[in-house]
Amino acid sequence: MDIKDYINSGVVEMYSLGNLNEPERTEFEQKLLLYPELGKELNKVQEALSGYANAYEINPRPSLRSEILESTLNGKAVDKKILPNSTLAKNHSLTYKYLIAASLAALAISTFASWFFYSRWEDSEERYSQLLREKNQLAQNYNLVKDGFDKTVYDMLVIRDPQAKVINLHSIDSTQNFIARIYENVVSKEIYIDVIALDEPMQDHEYQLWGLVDGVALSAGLFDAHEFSGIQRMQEIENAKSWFVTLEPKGGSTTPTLERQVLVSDQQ
Amino acid sequence: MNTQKPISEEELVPLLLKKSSSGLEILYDSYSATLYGIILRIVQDEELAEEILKKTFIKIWGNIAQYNASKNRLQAWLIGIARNMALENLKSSGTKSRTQYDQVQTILGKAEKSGFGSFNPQTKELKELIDKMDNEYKQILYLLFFEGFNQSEVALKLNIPLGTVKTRSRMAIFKLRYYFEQHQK
Repeated sequence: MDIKDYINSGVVEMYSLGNLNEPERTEFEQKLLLYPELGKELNKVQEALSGYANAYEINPRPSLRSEILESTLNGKAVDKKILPNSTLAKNHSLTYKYLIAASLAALAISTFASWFFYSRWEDSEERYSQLLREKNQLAQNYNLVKDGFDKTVYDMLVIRDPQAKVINLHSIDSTQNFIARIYENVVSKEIYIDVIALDEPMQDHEYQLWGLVDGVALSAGLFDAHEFSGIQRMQEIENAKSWFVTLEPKGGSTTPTLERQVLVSDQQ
Repeated sequence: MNTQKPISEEELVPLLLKKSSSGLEILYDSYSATLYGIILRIVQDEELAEEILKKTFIKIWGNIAQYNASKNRLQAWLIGIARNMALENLKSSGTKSRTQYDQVQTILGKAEKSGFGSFNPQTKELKELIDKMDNEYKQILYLLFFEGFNQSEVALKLNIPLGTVKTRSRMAIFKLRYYFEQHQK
């Protein structure tokens, strides 16, 4: 499930209200380590619920303060006082010494074991997150490559279509070596342009393709000048006698600026 | 609320970990009213609420090392402990579906008026906001938060579909979030 869908399922609110069962909570806490946006969302929900609780705050009676502070601090101290037992210690001092030595040894071993397993656990946790990050990165790369591949396959289909008529466009200015090709599907009437060599348009300008039908120039739309844009689909114009490309202000024009003609189709 | 607390959550946690008694005092002064408000709402008995508040502070003090800032904000963690202690008490006394929502409001209105209600202006403002919420949102939020119901139980109690409970509870929390985004920047 996408993390956005996961958040939209209301799981953050359920977690904050303590409404998730054990496996759901574990899953949530694992995801929390991996997705910072989930943490941000949790923070906001918790802030809202804390505010909600604050709105209903009631001050306890003032004398409760010292009672609670005392019992909290002493709660700890009382536990400690229970430990030593002087009479027992005198009667069984030797046994006690052994017991203490044994328990110290056990403590040392268990401390070491805790530290050892904790660091191992931390290592694996980190490697796990690292692997997940790498996996996500690979997935992103894969998607990029796949998109590129799909586009290439699509372009190939247009070019290799037996119904495609190829029209070459060359530059008006003989000092330039601009080239583009139009693929006109004679059955479906679809028009595509493939830019092979063309300069970037000047600032705030775009290239516009025109088809000449009975002496009238009809716009087939704007296109990118990048060679890597691949084949771009244009608006359909039927029965065009010739084609040309002009440089127009951004957004295109309704009639071509003829003094800015850049490309024109070869004689047919 | 945050603006009135003498130090931030990030500064308070290390003091508590060091078992500093002034840290404990700050903790009490900053959060006791919120926690007491929650506990009293859940158990609806002042004497019992005081007892649970006492136990809550002992638990917080003893378990502070388990607090994980990457999972929870401190206040959310404290609220979680207080809520759980009060709700557990309720469960063990076997009275989960108790007073009706409206009756609760009356009991608490009395407790607030008896002199120990909040003095914090921001709290008052937030309370007004909640009061203005449609009853259907207010009631669901109250049942989920103060009664410890889960969403299915709320659906059953109010006799509305579970999906509606989910949507309304999210909406109610969204409204609170919106308030915070507007007022805490």
